[in-house]
Amino acid sequence: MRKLGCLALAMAAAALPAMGQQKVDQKRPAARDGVVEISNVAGSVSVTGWDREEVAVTGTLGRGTERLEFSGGGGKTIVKVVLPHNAHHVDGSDLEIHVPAGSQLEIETVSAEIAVQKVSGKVRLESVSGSIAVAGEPSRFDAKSVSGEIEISAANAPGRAKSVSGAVTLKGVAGAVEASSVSGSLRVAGGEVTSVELETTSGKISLDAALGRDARLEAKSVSGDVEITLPASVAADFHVTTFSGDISNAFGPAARRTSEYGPGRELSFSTGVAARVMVKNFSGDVFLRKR
Amino acid sequence: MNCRDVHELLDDLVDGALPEDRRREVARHLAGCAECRTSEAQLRSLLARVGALPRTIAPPHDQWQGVMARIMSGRGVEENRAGRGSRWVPLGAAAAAAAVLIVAVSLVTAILVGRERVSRVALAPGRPAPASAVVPASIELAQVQATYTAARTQLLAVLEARRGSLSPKTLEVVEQNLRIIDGAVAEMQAAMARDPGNRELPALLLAVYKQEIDLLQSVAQLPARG
Repeated sequence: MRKLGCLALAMAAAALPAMGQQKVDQKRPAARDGVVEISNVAGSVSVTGWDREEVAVTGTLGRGTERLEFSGGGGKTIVKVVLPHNAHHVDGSDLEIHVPAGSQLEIETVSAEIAVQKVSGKVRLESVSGSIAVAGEPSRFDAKSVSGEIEISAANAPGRAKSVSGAVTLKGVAGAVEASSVSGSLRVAGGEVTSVELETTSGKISLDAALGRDARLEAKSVSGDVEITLPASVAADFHVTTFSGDISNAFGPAARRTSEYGPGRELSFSTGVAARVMVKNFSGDVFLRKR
Repeated sequence: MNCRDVHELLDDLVDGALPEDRRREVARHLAGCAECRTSEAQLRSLLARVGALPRTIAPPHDQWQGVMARIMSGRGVEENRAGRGSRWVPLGAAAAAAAVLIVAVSLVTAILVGRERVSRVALAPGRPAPASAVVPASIELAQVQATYTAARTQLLAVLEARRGSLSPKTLEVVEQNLRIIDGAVAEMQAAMARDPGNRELPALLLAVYKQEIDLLQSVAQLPARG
């Protein structure tokens, strides 16, 4: 009987490593501009571009994880943390992934944080509650989160970011840019933009950028303040309205009242026919500032 | 009459509200201007689509009954997303995609996108200050509101069905933001009642409708445990 007990203990001890954290250290060849798909539920995903034509994954798989799927090669590589069926208590997995710098990234997580740097291909990133951070020179970004914060520091990249309550910060963007949230703030700072659409319900909007010729800038909020900072020499048609907020304009004329029955304010003026700036607000204030 | 003048008159033209002499002038310009003809065609097309919409939208009866029956019985659909392997989860995104989203949301989205497009036509370069040119008067806001309400109701049913498969934190965020949107909608509707002539408010209201539909669509597509 004692032998049986010892055997059971030994078997349990042997099973422990499989139930606990597992170290990962794998690599495989990949095209320099291929697609890398990554998914992880909880923990973190950190992706760094490098000059080798291979994808390398290191890190740890959380307790209870079934396995790491690391497959593909050539034009498409898949890195996926696989959980067991009906898993309820699984620890997060932390992955450090190196990819060819020109890779196109597609990353999905639930609560895992996403960090990307030195990748020059397109990046599409989605998380439910994890934060998303991109630094470097992606050719285009597309980021989506429910409650996680999104911060893109992209050198002259166009793209879009969307959240529900998480704050969205876009730095160094250029070209066509879209950002929206329900209650999260939107902060955009860039070089020369050609098309910008910013929309929130209660979040604050702030933009500081130069407008390309014929650029179109639209900002809409219901109750969040909107702050637009542009070069003093900007040439644009401005049209700003707010129902019950105030309009402050550093470029020229003051707003006028538009409605006999409501407190509406409107401001339309031009500093030169080129770009077009449209701001609509309901109860928030609007500030037009010179850089 | 130049393009700028014609763009100012397009809404009245398609509404049939333009005096005969002005109508003839616009027609002469349209005959020689492809760009303005395109704007006119887009506007007429949009109005035709909106005019053909029903006041309320119900998905095909049998389809919706099937969806609801499955929701109520707790039967699920197989899901394989974000590395969780194949599993049975409460009915969620697939049901939405199958019955609700296709029937209702795409319609609402089409309307809202269409209205945005109209706004852009109205705000095309060369057009003067757009205070009076946000949305053609002939598009009935009430019609869009009815469509939005139908879509919202159905997507809220999807949210209810997914309640057990989403994390409490996510649910809290979603519900909190739905309350923010509902509050904004109520405030704007009250403002429109006080100031029915304000032509900016409908555009803002529609933007908020779109945000709510977007949010509910996103929830329908969230992974389990998200």
